Parts: sequence; C-alpha cells; structure tokens
Amino acid sequence: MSVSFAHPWLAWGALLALLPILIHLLQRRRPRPHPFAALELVLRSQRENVRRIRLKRLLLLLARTALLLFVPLAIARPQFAAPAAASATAEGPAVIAIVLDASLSMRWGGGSVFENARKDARRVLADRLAEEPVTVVVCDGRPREIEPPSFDRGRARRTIDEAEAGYFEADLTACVQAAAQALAESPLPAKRIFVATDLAASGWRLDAPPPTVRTEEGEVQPEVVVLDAARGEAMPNLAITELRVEPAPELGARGRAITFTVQNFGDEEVRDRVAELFVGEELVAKTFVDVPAGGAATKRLLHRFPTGGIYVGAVRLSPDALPEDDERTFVAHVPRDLRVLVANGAPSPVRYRDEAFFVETALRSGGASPIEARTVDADHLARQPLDPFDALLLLNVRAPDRALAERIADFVRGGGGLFFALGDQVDADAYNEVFGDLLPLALHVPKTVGKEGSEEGGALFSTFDFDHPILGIFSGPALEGLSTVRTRRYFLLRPGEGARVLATFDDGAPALVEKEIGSGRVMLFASTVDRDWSDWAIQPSFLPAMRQMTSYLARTLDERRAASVVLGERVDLAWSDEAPPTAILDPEGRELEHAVAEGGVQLVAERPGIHRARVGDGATQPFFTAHVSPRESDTRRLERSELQALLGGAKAQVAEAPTDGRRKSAPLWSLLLAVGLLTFFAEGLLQRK
Amino acid sequence: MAVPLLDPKLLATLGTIQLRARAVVEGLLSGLHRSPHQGQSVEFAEHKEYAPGDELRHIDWKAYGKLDRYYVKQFEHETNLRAFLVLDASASMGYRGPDEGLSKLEYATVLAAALAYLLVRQQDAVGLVIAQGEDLHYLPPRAHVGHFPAVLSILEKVEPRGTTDLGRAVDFVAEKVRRRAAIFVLSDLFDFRPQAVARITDLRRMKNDVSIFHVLDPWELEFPFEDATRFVGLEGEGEIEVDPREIRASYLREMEKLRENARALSLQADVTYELARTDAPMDRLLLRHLSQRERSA
Repeated sequence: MSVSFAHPWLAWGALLALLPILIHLLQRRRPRPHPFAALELVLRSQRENVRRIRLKRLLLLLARTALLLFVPLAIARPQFAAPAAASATAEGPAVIAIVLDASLSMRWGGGSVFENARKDARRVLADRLAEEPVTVVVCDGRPREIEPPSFDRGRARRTIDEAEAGYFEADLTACVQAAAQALAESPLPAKRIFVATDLAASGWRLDAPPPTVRTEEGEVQPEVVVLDAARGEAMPNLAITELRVEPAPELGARGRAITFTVQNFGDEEVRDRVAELFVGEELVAKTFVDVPAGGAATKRLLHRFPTGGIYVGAVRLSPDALPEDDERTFVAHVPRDLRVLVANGAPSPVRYRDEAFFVETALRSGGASPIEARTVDADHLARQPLDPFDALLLLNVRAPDRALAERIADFVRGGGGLFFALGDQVDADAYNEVFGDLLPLALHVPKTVGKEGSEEGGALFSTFDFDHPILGIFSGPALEGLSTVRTRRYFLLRPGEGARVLATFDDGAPALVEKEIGSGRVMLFASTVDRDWSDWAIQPSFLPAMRQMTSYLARTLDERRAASVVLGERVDLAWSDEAPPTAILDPEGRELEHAVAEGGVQLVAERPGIHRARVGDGATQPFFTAHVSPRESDTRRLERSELQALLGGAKAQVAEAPTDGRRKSAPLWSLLLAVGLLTFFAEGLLQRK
Repeated sequence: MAVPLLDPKLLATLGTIQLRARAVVEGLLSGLHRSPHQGQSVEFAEHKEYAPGDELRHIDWKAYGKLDRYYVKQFEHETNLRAFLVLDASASMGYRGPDEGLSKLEYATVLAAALAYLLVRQQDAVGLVIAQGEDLHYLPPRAHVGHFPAVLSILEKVEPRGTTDLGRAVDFVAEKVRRRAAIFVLSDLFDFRPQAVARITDLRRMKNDVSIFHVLDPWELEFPFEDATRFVGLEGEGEIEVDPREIRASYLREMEKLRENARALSLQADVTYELARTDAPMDRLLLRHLSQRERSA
C-alpha cells in the first residue's frame, strides 16, 4: 500500500513546516539587545519560568510545524492506494459515469450479484471527490435518457437505490458508449467510467470498438474500471432456451407434443435435473434431463388435451441460482370440434367418382379429427338446417332456388363459412344470378387446357399468397405438393372487387379466391375437388389444404397462432377479432402499455409468463406468452484480459470490487485536517499562556 | 492664567536642569495658588522698643494699648533647616525606556534641583550627596542663595556610572547630620537591602525627616516588550535573551514585590515613600509630597 496525492503539487506546501524552525533559528541569531536596569528581575523571572518556557517553546514549535505540515498535506489529499488501483487509474478529479448492469443475469444468486453491484456503485459514488461530477447509467435494456454529469450526489444515490435487476437483455457495450458520450459534457479532462457488472459475456459485443469520448481535442479514450459483482466466481446456470407445442397425431386431434431444449451454461455436467410439464397448475408429466457442460439437451413430452380450447401451461426445471429461465410457459390452442355440411352435387356409387369422396376423406382422416363432416345430396340441401354447422361446402352443386340461396347468404352473414367447388353441374349464369354477391368473383366460362384421362397437360398453380393462413403452411419444401397439381378444366372468373386471390393458374386465371361477407367467409375453387377436372384431390397438399380451409372458414385457424415473445423486445401481435383488446394484463394482473395497430397490437412485455387480453365483455383470454432472452441465460463470464482488451487495454481495469484506496484516503486527509485544526487551536492557547 | 502641569517629555526638551527645575517649581507654586514672594516663613522672637527706621507694620499695637509704649516685634527666619539630597547616580539610573522622555537619572536630577530650589528659596541649607558605587560626591549644606547654582552645577555634570550602594550613601549622610535635618533619597532602589533600610531607620530615629523617591521608568514598571529581546544589565549583571511575553507575568509579580517591599519597609521606618514614574508630571509629585509633609507636620 502506498500513499499518493490527489493534488501532488499542493503537497509541496508541506515545506512550509520548515518555516517555524527557520524563524526559530533566525530569532536565535538576531535577538535585539536592550540595556535594561531591572535585569535582576528579568533574571529571576526567567529562572522561575525556564522549564515552563522551554516546554512551551517546544510545544509551540511542534504545533506550528504540525500546522504547516498537516494542512498543506491535507489539501493535497493524500490517500492510500492499492497497487492495482494505482497503476490502473490516474488519480485526480475526473468526470465520472457509473454504469450499473441491471440485466436479467444480475438476478443470479437470488439477486446477490445485483446487490454486490449496487454496493460497488454506492462505494464508487461515496469515494468521489467533491469536485467530481457524476452520472449514473442503469443498464437494464430499457431505453433511457442519460443525465449529464452533475454534482447532485443525492440524485445519483437515488438512481442507484431505486434501480432493480430486470428481466431484459442489456447491451453493456452500448451503455458504456452512451456513458462515454455523457462524459463529453464536462470540461474536466479526465474521464472515468465505472461498470458494475457480472462480466457475463452475453452483455458485451466483442467486435465493438473501445468506448470513446468526443472532446474539443478530438476523441479520447476514457478510463474504464469494471467492478466484478460476481467477485470472480463462476455463475453456472441451466435454462430452458426453446419450447415448441406441436400436434401429436399419435395422440389424436387434441394430442400435443411439448418439445423443449435445456442448455447448460456451466462448466460441469448436470444430471437428473427434474423437468415437469404443467397444464394450468396441474402436473401432467415429469422427466429427468441430463445436460453436458456447455451443451444442450432436448426433451419431448406428450399430452392429450381432453377438449378443444385454449390452454396455458409451463415446463419447469427444478430451480437453480437464476430461476427466471427455469420455467417456460406456453399457450396451446387445441382446436374445438367443427361440424361441416358437405353438399354433394354429383354423387356416385363408385366412391372415387363421387364428388364428395375426397373431401370427406380429407376431413375425417387421422381417426380423431376434430372435424365432423356430414354429406348430403344437393337435392336434399333445401331441407337441411344450416345453423348447427360451422361451414357449408358446395361441391359441384347446381344453382339452387332463390330461397335456399337466401338461406345460405344469411348463414354466411351470420358467421358461417361457405366453400364453392365447381364442375360440370355448375352453370355460370345461373350461379351468378342466384348467388350474386355471395360469389367472391362472378363466374365466366369454363376453360379446358388438357385432355381428359391424360396425365400430361393441364394448368399448374402459379402464384400463391403465402401470407394467407391457409397457404402459410405450404411455404418452403411443402410447396411441391401444390405446384404439381394439374388442372385440365376450370372456370374463368370475371374481374371484380372485394375478393382476395390466393392462388392462380399459370395462365394468370384465379384458381382460389376468398371474400368476407358479413361475419362469414366465402372461398371458391375454380375447378373440381374430385378427379374430373383436376388431380388436386390425389395430391399430398389436398388434405392439409382442405383442413386449413375448413378451419379458416369456421374461424378456428386464427386461434391456433400462439405467440411467444422475448421480454424487452417490441413486437407486433396479430389480433383476429374486429375489436382490439381493451387491456392486456401481465402475469401479475397489471395492465401492460400497448398501442393498437392495424390488425393487432404493439407492445413490450416486461414480465415472463402468460399475458392475457381483456376483450369487450370484460372476460380475459390467454393472448401470448413471454420469456426471457436466452442470451441473458448465458451467464458464462468473460476473461478479465478479454474484457480489458475490449475496453481499451491499458486504460481499462477489471477489479473484483472497488479498491479501498479512496476510502482509506478520506480518513487520512480528514485526519490530517483535524490534527491541523487541533494544532491551530493549541497554538493559540499556548500563545495566550 | 494657570501654568499647565508639565509633562516629563516636554520637560526633557528644556535644555538645562535649572530651567527644568524652575519650570517645575513655577508650576508647583502656581498649583499651590501662592505668590512666590509671600513664601517667607518667619517665627516670632522678641519685642524691642521702637526706634526710627523700624517697619511700622511690625509695631505691636496690643502692647502699645497695654503699656502705652511702642514696641516692635522681632522675627527669626527659619534658616535652621538642613536638607540633604541623596541622589543615586548608579548606572541603572541611566535607563530610559524606548519612549522619548527623561531617563531615571535625569528625572531624579530635575526633581532634586526642584527640591533644592524650593529649599533655597526658603533659606534652608541644602546639601547634596551623589552616590555612584564606591564613589560619593558631597556638597555640604548652605543656606544662602548663591549656593543653588553650585548645586545645579554638580547635578548637571552627573553621569550614570557604577553600581548602587545605597547603604553606604545613607551612612555617609548619617555622619554629616549633626542635628535634625530633612533627607531626600532619590533612587530606583534596586539595592534596597536590609542594610540600607537599617541605616535609614537609624536616620529616622535621629528625628530626621526622611523621604524616599522611588524613581522607576514605565517600561520597568509595565514591561511592555513584545519581541524577543536580549536584555543587557546596566551594572554589569550580564545579559539574557528572553521572549518578554513569556516572562511578563512573572516579571510584573517581581516588580510588584519590589515596590511593595520598599513601601512596606518605608512605612515601618516611618519614612515617606513616593513612587516617581518618569512619565508622571513632576510638579504633581512634588505637590502631593509637600501636601503629605504638611499634613504630617
């Protein structure tokens, strides 16, 4: 431990201590002679007081010497400095920025790491010289305005006291650079940044340049002192970094597979860690996870939901030092049972020639399909009530009478789904007349592009609207099932307004069109759904396409979009209902700020877990789930040398805690000042005696 | 118009002791509100028959009424008082404080001259003893007016020298006093030891009227020195370097002890004691002293 001075040049003032000695010596050399008659009295007085006088003189000399020694030394602010601190940071007044890491990883150890960081920040603040302006930057992933450095210590202390480790991912590189920018506002030449952090590598961008401060003399590199809130200890962590909820056909239509990935961010292998699957608050499955050091493991748990609906659940690991990432919640949309009425316009005793055979087969396949299809002859449709059904499929049906057409129109306006598949039973003019606006586009004439019975020729699907919920599943390799469909004959459609073309033939004619009417949806396929005019019915894409279409028409497809967002990220979430949610509630039931955008809401989730939406009637329904960023779960720490290099090499220092140098220095100079003042008063008293 | 009381600093500007003494006496007499020409003190002696030429104002009209003859009163002048001025002229009496003014010796010589002048004016015989260590200078007492210049002449030539030996000087006076006399001792009394006190007591026992003027400089009395000073003894006591502030309290106690000792011994010996500060107006001192003598007489 060595002594250094905040103002070294002022320490030369300690030479003033020689002054009393010099004066004493000078006075000894040149006393003024004075002839005096009563010398005997003087001699007698001197003899009486000689001891007292000698002592007083000695004390006076000491007091004056001490006064002139201690006061200049105190003004020079001597301090004890640990060798490391002394070598890394130049002393003297500097403009200071304290960056307090408040990211998720700082919650490690039940918040003990963050408390260490807060303590370090407080100590740094307390050790500042009075002439050092300070600003505090809380780096918690939220956009914040950084205050310019000021001498308001109370404000800085409040900022530190009120800071909390959040759930967000923080970019410490950006925070340090922002702090460096703030330092530019002070004219003090020395710039110093203290960063209280856990040294988690995920918080730093290792490819970023060292922070710089823009000054009038150009860009200068500030001194950066990183205070290790983890005190050099490793921070092992196990986290669920990914979770998917997918259909599990082996369990039926309502069977779901919950697949999750557990990553081990520690240096030791983890064995037999318990992972539990909860649906609601009910434990439904349990497994054990083994994860190698620095590796990951994926597990799949199955669950069959009893009924359709929206379910919330979670996978939970037995908690470790950072429990926030040991649970991942999900929202599972289990489709409800649909009832579909299929009107067969060209029934045939030969199954594969029957118009409805392929559609029925597609909707009922899988054994436990949630879709219940009832097929009737088109002639019996007039006697069939439509209200019990979610969707009506008219397959190559002749134009009905007006009364039935009107019923169908009412059914659609009331929210029902309607699907037209055309064929030889369809008369374009009759359709246009009877259905009118119910058709997405008016029919024109049939067009033949290939020979019947020939495997070659025919039109292919050309363009697709993959943004549509029906076709979204066919993007990528799955497109092949659609692009190979050949259609020999189809109806040309008249141009019109209000229809959305989902797919076209290669000659540009619309193949699949959609239109919304009232609360219902209408779709039209310009060809047949048996093998008369097209081979789509025997293509792999037919089954999922029919199911998608049916669900879409019955408005259950939208519900299947279960959003999962990362905390702290601004996201746009689609909202299918006409009226936006009146409120969005976080897992603790508090309202979350959000902006209503077209077709959805924009928000930033702040708490992990299930978020619910409150709709117009006051009821709430699960909306989305939010989870912490997997990057913040990565608590592997940077090497000191790496961080030092990142922050500017010799200008940077990584310490386990604030050095005691400044703290010890304060008592030293204040002690000197106190002794100086005491000697001052003592000198005055001695003078009077 | 009253003459202002003279400040010793002003007095010091006057050239000779004679002038200084006259100024003191004039001021003194002015303070007494007496005419300097009505100061002759006479004592009734006898009657004689009037003869032409005698002063008519001396005719005793009461005797004429009883005897029907003219008798004239005859007076005898008080010329039988003999006074000795014992002046300590040792080196210590040469001290003069840093303030401008008279040294103790100068003050004492002026005081002695003023006393001599007063006494001669009353036709008393005035003698002078100058004590300078072993050396004693003596001028026998004479009553005639022409004796005063002789006294002044000696006083003007006195220079401070030698050590103080007050006992020896008093011994010398005791030898010379053959009948009742007034003895004035002017000294700084730094040698006021039991031997000297015993001699003075003897003088008093011989019915002599003894007065002591304790002449001290205000710097000796108050010791107002501030800076470190090397004090050098005037009578060869050596020297010492001190910070006066450090010993002031102790010195003042010693000085007070010295003065109190002198005053107490004087009172014990029935001797009149007067502190004569060299910065105090001399006529007031004399006035106070004469008043005191009148009351005691």
